[in-house]
Amino acid sequence: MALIEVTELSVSYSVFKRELKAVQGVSFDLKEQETLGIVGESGCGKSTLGLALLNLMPPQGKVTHGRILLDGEDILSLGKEQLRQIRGKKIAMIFQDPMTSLNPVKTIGNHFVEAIKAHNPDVSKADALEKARKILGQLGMSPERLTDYPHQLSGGMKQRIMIGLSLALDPKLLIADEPTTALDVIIEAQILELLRQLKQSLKLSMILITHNLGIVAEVADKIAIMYGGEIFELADTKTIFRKPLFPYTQLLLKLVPNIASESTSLEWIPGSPPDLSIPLMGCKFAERCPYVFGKCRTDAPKLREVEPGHKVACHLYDGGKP
Amino acid sequence: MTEALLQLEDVKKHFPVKRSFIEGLVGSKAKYVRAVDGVSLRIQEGEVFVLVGESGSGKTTLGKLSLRVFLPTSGEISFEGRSISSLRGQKLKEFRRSAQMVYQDPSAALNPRVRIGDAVREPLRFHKMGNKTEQKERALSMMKRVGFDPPEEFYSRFPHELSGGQRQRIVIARALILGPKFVVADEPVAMLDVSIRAQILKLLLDLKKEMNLTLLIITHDIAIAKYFADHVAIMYLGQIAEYGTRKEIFKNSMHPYTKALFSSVPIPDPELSKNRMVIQGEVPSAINPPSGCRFNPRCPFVFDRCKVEEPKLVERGPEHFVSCHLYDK
Repeated sequence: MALIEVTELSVSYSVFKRELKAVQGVSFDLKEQETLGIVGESGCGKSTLGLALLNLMPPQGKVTHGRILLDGEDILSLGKEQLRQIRGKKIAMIFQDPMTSLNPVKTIGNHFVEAIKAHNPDVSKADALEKARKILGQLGMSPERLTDYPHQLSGGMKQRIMIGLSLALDPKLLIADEPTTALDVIIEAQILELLRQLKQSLKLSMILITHNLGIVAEVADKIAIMYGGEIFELADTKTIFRKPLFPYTQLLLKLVPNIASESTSLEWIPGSPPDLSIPLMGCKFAERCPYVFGKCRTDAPKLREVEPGHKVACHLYDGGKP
Repeated sequence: MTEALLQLEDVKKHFPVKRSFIEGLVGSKAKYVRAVDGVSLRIQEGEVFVLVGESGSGKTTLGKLSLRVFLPTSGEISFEGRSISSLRGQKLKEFRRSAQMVYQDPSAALNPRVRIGDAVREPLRFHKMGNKTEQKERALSMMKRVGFDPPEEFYSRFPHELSGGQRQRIVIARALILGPKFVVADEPVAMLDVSIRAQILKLLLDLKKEMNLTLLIITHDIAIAKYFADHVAIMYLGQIAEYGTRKEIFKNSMHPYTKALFSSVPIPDPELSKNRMVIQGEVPSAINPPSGCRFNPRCPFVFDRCKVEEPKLVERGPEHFVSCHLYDK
């Protein structure tokens, strides 16, 4: 059974009385111990999707349609208290910027104690700290760090602490939103290595939200390509890299600098991503697509399975070619 | 060998760290951040020089030093054979015209209340070049060159009406309108989306060819060096760890730090087996850099000499300089 199942999820923000459709009709599921990479550029709705999975929408945002089942439980219909029970315990999140996610006037130890006691008030402080010590060990950090304040830690260590805090309640599903974007490449490699190890040893499922195809290539089992608020292609990692079908995916793969390849010519996609506050007929990528034809500008393509396990939303594969 | 346009000779820049009140009372010694600590480089006319480093390596400070945003603590920087530290008055103004900067964050580099056309025109106004109509004409033609077509349609817009990529084009137009010889681009695409990055880099390169520029690109992204550099320098904690032609650096990197940097980059290919060399620890503080080789606390190949003696940049291959004791053995 799927650990999390998302059906036809749509999320809108109201911005200056206009409706901005950040996520539109997104469906996917994730089995236990699987890692899904959600890839897209800024503004494609990937972070909004991540927040919606925790029902953590900001006040101006609203889920307008769809269903999220976590272990068979509908997250969107839960009340505040029930949500609190799920967040952290079943599903936890790591945010992009570790610098601003920790409280500067609290020690690292207190961060752990607070997180653990908020969910299990009966746990003693000593037990909570014991748990924190154990987690720090898993993160490759010295337990002495528990008495440090966030400013005493480097960026990489802060991100380790964020990961540690998200694991404090033994969640099943970890959502990581650009977990290494604020870090230098060597530290990034260290954190990715850590995530891979934790995934194995704790049997975690993960949703990794990123703009970096290199990262998902190394960590994810399957990949969803998002553009303009929709998932346009969904397949296992190898297929996405070896046999991409959606033109945006194909272009994206070509324009990602790859230091391992021989080629030194860079390609790019002309134009820029669509403005989601303006309703658009047809395919969101039509403006920039090299294969665009008549139907693309009038009908929005639907995500459908064109080969076993490979879904794509593109009229090129509808059989109705130009 | 072609003439060096910019030459740095053992350049150092140390920023004082403010002492706390109590430290002042007890008379503890003044501390310095050794942002750039003994760098020698030559940038040749007409080339693309890419300076790679992590945050805190001193790469931005080095860029600013070479534009005389501030003066070095010690060492000599010369532009076209003349020291830039001693420039005054008219000569300094001339230097400012021929050396320009493209900043990382186009949203912060543009005044939100100045129309973009006027932002492009501003350098001409400052240097009193031509009257208003001529200035406007030149601004329009520069805007056209960076991809605004027709430029008249965009001239009176405000920065918030443009996309990130368009804003960066404006920042580039403004840097180039005086016809500089030398341009420092500090992380010119780091704030942009992947699908836009290549466009902007290509634009910089096309303009470089058209306008005979010499480009110093400062970046944390080695991949950029792979696509554009003539020469590459890898900086670590205020010093150059390795320096050479693109081919040498990418085919035959020698410094353990460079190797670690290369193997840390995530490769967008799930089937490439990777023998990652993940090094431990993080960049130490530039206030108290490690003695001997700066990289020794993290280096997997460290031996005794590394801890006591600072290695020098030595030529180990054709136009390939490495600062590492390993190759002395």
